[in-house]
Amino acid sequence: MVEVLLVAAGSHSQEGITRLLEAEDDVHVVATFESLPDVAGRDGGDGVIWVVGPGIEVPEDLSPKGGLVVMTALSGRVGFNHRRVEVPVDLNGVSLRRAVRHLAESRPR
Amino acid sequence: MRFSGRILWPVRWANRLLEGRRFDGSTFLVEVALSPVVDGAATSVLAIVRDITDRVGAEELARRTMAATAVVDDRARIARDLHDKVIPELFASGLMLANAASSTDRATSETLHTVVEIIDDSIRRVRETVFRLQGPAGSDQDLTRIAHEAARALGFEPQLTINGHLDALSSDLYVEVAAVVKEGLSNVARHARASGVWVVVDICDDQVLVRIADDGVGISRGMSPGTGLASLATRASLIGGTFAVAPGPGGLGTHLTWWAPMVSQTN
Repeated sequence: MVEVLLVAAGSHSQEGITRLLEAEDDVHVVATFESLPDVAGRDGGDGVIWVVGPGIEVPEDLSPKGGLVVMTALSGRVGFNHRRVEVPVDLNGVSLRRAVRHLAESRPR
Repeated sequence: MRFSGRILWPVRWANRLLEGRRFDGSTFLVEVALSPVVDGAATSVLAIVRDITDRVGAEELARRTMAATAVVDDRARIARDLHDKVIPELFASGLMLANAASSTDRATSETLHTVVEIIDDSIRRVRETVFRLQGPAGSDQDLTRIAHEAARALGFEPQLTINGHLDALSSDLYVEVAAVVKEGLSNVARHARASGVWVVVDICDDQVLVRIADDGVGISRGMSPGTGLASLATRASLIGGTFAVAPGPGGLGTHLTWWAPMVSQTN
């Protein structure tokens, strides 16, 4: 089970993105936060992947150890590397889940 | 300078242009300043004729540039609004409907899920529009430009072949293909010490294949890829594609192969 920490503004977004992430039962959202400052010091350990919802500004130097998925309107424009993945928002969650799985599988050992 | 003059009226009455004609028949735009010169009982007129061809040309260029800039600014503003407001709002609306669909009766739920799919499709269409508004991507020239820019680092022009129509690619997939070509060529420039590199992009009904081959020093089997190549592998993986880099035939050069299905990450 891949553990994810979700940062998304608003309960509807949090609930909806959680549903997308957990749709295939291999990803579990362990905590949700409204904003990035709320997460400070509470990232839940090295293995947790951060998912940041659309509309939240993500500092370029933010690099949680578990990896970072940023949901954006357009994909792949900036800051793309193998520990920080940008995915375009979509309502079927395919690219989102794929990005989370990719980060989980490519964790440094 | 000797010339004959005639007044032209092509622009505006209050801003008419005066054209001078040289004895060789060529014409040029002039500005004439007339000043009376009184010398006792006699009055003369002093005429100063100035060639204003360059000035008028510069003014016209400035006018056209301002008009073009206004169009670009307008496109950027529309793209920004779509990107920052419309797509997030559509996405949030879709999430709310999907949430509601989970706590209602079956018939309503099915209807709501259909609406969510329509909204998802709308998001894709808006994304395509944003992509087109933000730049002229998606044309052969862009890959050509990437290849041409890589020539500076390579020391020679890469040979680029595109089989099929780039228009068939979604904006997301186009971004990926362009990134592969850019990173692949950059990698050749940094490591291969090659004298030639060949880029082939094949686009057919359901897949896109990018092959980059060089005649450089090659790589050892089992060699771990750098960050750039790891990024290409990541990109391929995220859209259900594959990525491989291997020595060329006989160990000469390096062959990079990147493949992705046309129906990719958002479908």
